[in-house]
Amino acid sequence: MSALLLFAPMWIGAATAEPSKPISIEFESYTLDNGLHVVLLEDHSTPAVVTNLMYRVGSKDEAPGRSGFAHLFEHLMFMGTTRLPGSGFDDLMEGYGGWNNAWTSEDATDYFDVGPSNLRATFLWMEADRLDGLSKAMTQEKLDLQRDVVRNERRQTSEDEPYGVLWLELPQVMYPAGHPYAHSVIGTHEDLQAASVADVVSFFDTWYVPNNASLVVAGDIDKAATKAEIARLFGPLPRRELPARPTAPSVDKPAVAVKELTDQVQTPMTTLLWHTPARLAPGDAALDVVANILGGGRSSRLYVRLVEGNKAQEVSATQVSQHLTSLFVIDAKPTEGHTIEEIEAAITEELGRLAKDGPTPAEMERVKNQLRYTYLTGLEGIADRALAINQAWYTTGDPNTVNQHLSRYEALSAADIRAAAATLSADRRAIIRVRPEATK
Amino acid sequence: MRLAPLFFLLLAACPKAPPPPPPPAPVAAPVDWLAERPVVGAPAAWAPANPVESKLGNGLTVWRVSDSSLPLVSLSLVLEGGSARDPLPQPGLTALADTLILHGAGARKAAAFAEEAERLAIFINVATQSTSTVVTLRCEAARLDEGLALLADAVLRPRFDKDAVSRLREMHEGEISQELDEPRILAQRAALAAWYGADHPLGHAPLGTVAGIQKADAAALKKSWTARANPHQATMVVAGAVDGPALEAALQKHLGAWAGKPAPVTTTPPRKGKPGARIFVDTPGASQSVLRVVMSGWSGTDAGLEAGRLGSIVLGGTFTSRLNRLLREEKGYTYGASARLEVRRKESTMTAASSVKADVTDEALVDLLGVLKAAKSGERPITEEERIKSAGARRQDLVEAMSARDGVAGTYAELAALGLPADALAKGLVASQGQSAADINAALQGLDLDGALIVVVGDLKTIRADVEAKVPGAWTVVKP
Repeated sequence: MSALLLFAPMWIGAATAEPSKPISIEFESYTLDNGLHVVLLEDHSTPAVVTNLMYRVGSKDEAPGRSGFAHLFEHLMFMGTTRLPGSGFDDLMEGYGGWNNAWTSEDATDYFDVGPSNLRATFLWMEADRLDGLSKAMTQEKLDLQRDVVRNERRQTSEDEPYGVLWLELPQVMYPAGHPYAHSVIGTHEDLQAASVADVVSFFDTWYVPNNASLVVAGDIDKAATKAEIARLFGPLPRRELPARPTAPSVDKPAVAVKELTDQVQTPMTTLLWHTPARLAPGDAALDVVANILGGGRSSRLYVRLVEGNKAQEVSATQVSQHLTSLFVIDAKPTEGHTIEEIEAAITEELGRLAKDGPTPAEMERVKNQLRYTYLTGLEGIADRALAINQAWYTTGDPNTVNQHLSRYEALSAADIRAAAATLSADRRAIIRVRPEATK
Repeated sequence: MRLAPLFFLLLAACPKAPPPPPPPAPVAAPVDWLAERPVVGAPAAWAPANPVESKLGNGLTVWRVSDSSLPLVSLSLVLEGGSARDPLPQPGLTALADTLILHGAGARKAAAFAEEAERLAIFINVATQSTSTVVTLRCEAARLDEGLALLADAVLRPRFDKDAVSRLREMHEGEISQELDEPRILAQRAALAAWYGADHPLGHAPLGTVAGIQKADAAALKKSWTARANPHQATMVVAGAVDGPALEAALQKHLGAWAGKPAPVTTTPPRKGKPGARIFVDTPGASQSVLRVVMSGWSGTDAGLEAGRLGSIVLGGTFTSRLNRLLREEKGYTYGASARLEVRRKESTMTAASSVKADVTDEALVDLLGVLKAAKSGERPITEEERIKSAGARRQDLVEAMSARDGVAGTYAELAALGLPADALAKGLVASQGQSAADINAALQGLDLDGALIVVVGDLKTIRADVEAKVPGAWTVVKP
């Protein structure tokens, strides 16, 4: 059975036909007695299986002086257990053609395993094993090694990356000290150096518990057999009481209005930022549309004005949706002969125009067509569907909200877009400018 | 040191530690429900869907893989010739011409073209590679007719308006400048010039140089495109919700008038780079150094290709590969290390690469070379476990690629660019699963390490002396 609600394949030969209605993701979800949330998604189109295990812990949950720890911990999850020591996790998985990866954000840490369907039971066993016993096998040597790897990741993805300094500075510019988002996910070298094995054990015991996680198993699976395996492997893991989550003081304005930085780059860049509503909160979807109208493609307003107008090399606009509070980000790089300040003035003017006059019908049509296409392509791979389901669970506690994705946008009116654009005012924004270092 | 003793010592050393609780009453040891590791069975049988092949009257080869499970369609039009066709004084001309076909075509100027495509969520892109150009079209199947109309305008009727030429030239100049900020791209550019020779058709990056495109005018760009836009030297790969008759009618309607004459495939001359060259690129203040070791690989028609492909996976194609395990997981020098095979029609390269902490550049380079030497010399032969792992990775890679329309179209487009028949994918997969450890060893033992090119990009003030001491040779400093 396919995971999709199929409909008649009538797509070609009708050039004037309207695109078909979007398709839903079909799955079964339930919760074990110990609180582990489970989703099963059956799709036999390829002999592949994916497990996606999301934990509700990210950099926002880190203790003071331990920035970067949630991400460092993510690395340590691959360092072996008593039952599967050393590099056994990767060796076993890759030995049969599987692979894995993980990511950490401000809000969550997500682990996914991908491979041939004969690895389904193995994936489940490995995830249950490390959730049961990772800390029992933790050592100083493992911590030191992964600390080095993470510090190299920081060098490669931030320090030596053009404009990487922007992302290291952004949290302090946008959030007041003490806010859960006021430090970068990658952390500082000093804080990473300070992490101890005791920190690892405490973090694991606190956050890596079944009632803080959601497991999606997708692909070429037998649901009944998979359900039985999950009950046997994850069922005995004990539920633990979770600590109170960090509270996020309401933020409306950035901590710093203008920040000037330099980097080893040849082209300056300006980034304009605003605090915006959290993921799925009222206004979040409208700001996605605002972002698309301003910077989504070559017919977007800022592209036409700045890039087609030869004032900027590139421009982008994004609503970065997060759990506690989101960010709206516009960045642009001026062409030679034009200044950052000129670009900022043009962006301000375009925002004002959108807030005053609203979007055109053609813009609304474009955005909605593009969102539908993006949604459909997101249904192709089982890994993407598994992640989308877990993200829906994380945000709302209900994985079924994944199927309400498009209706959030369909319901938007031009007035909603105008109102959302009006929130992006000059008195609420921060500007971070990165200019080339004087000499290399 | 294991966790328990350390934790105990920490507590014991703390003067404010509370007295230890009384020992718990003995209880029956819990059964370890995770003690038994699942047995991994045989993988399910799988083969990639073979495209249905046809030819339009104008010579355009069409490969179609129909899949109606989602109302999506993805097309890749592969044109022979890529940046290797750049005239010598103008590296980057081909890529600029390719970009311009989407910035004004048919009756529409640049803005109108983009507006029409984006309004209907039709995504048309162009990618210039070294020996081919690929134009892609992705849309909902119901928009295929409008999408093909736009694609046909771009391919058959690009405008090369003077204002668009001027603007795109500036944009490409900006992109090239920005590329030079990236240490890994500096390494790649330096490696191409040193491996092939700066004046060789493959000796430059497709984006070219600022000097190369500064004088490109509309006439030269149009000439570049027209010379390559030949249906006899093109393959259209189509994947998704479209059947044969409907596709044929749509292609005939939009591309039937595309004309050209049969022409031979362009061949590239032998590379001219000096064997065994060692080069530095200076990036003052860099906290990491980029390492690249380039060797001859296996071409698309080489009998050893599948064995070589599996060999490159063992060396650096997965997380547990030899390079990543040593440089990242054992030494902690890097965030990752890899080996990658780049296959072309008549020649190929295998590149081992990593970005390492600056203060261990010399040691990391020695270790990286050591992994390659041990595989070549047979000192550390490929094991049966590694054979199974690499064959499994190759198969899984294809399974995942073939699960999305873009992946299907893109994978078959790569075959077309190599001049291989459509069934080469399925045959190659069968061949890869049949390679023995001895086959892979034989392939790796054929690597020419003495002739390998070594590129190091980093802060030469701090790394140069140590690298030269540990890896002797005639090191030279270049500026890409």
